[in-house]
Amino acid sequence: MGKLNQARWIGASTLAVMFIIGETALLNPKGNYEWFPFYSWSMFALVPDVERNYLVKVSRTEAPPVDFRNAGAHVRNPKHLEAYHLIQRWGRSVESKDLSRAEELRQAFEQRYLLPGIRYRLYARAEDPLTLWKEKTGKQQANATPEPLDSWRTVKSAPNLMERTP
Amino acid sequence: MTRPVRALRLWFSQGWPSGDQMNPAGWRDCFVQAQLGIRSLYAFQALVALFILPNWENLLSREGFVPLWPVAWMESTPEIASRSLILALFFLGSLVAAIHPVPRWIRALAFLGLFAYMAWHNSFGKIGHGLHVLLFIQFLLVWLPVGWNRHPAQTKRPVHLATLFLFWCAQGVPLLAYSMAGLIKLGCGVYQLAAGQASVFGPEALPRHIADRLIQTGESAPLAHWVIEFPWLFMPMMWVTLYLEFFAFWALFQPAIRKMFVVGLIAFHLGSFLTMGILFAHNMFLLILLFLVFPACRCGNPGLKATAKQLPLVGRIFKRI
Repeated sequence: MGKLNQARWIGASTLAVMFIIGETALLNPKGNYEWFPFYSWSMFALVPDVERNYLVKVSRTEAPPVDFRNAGAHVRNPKHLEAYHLIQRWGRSVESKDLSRAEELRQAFEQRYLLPGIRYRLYARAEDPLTLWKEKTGKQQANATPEPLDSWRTVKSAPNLMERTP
Repeated sequence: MTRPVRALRLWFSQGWPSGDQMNPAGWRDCFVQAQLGIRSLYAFQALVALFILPNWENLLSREGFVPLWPVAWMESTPEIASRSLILALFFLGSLVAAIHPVPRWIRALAFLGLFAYMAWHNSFGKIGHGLHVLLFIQFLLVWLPVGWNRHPAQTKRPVHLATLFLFWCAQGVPLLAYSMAGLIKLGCGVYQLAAGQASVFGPEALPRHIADRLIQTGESAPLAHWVIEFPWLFMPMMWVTLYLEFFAFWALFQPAIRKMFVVGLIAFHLGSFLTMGILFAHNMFLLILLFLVFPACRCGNPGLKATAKQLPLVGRIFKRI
């Protein structure tokens, strides 16, 4: 095969495969629209409407609970997008009664983002993003009150290594 | 060859400098630009690798590993050894290719290093898409013909054309990704419109996306408040973005409008940053590199009106004026 023909074949096939497998990935049962490294590029495809989403409230003993994302120094990386998605997956697992998966995700969330001694609880609510935004900016009160999905839990303190030292 | 097939073939071949439509000096200029562009792509990958170097220790101790298929083998190997191997492959492969991307095995090493790094880096619960375009480009560049790096006078026309074709396909990768994004947005828009929901065609689309995103991240963005408060003002932005995305791949075959589309897509990324805090810096840089710095195409300067006439859909309006 000539050099040009080889280049034509490889170039055109790569683009075709990128398109076909990328679009087929929309059918991925996991719902993430990709088969790595092929992606459907379905970014911001659906305009968000009223949808059920999940949040975690955290508190120190006696202090009123606050949203995990506003908990500042009491937690790790509260504004990390990965944390948001982890909470959403945890919430969906709880509501779909996939309890072993929910427990796995809860533990992952606790290990990665919470500090010892913190109390936390998972909530769900159905709300429109524009309403949530107005609530966040103080222009409107949320229509829906978050409903608890779980009981309050406390992150266990890390073992004190100094005490174990003879 | 039947007439429709011939017409289709002609249309699809008009975007890349085939040599048939240009004098030899023309395609040699393009060949030199493609050579520089290819070297710059390897330099860019090396820069990406260098930027992760300060985080080396953090990367080695990341928790919550849920492996994607290319790195499933890591579960049965010592953690520190397999992670070090992947980071070393990415770092060394990228650096060696930036220095000497001539032998195919070095380019293959750079591709494998990037692939392995991406597979591992995205195996912690969420897949990021900042480097996907670069990965497909690097795959194409592995297949550059022998002699792609030589002086145009020392190589024959098939080498020039094969190099130019692969570089042109590499330019097609980001444009195809945008078109796929546009296609899905359009499909979802029609679906949501039919379902009576807020859709991409309405004024609330952009404010809803912005509000949703910023609630997810808990961050703020300079123009977010304005877009949410005055949705009608910014509605055309959403439509122009949809148009640019959907027809981006078309622009690959229309050299005259390519630059206009690329500048539009860069503006779209800047807009996303100002409204949602999302900066697709890697993609923006690739667009600049592949289309503005080393276009490898004698697009000429046909003038605004002639360019406008080639725009998909709306070009017909300009033809009548």
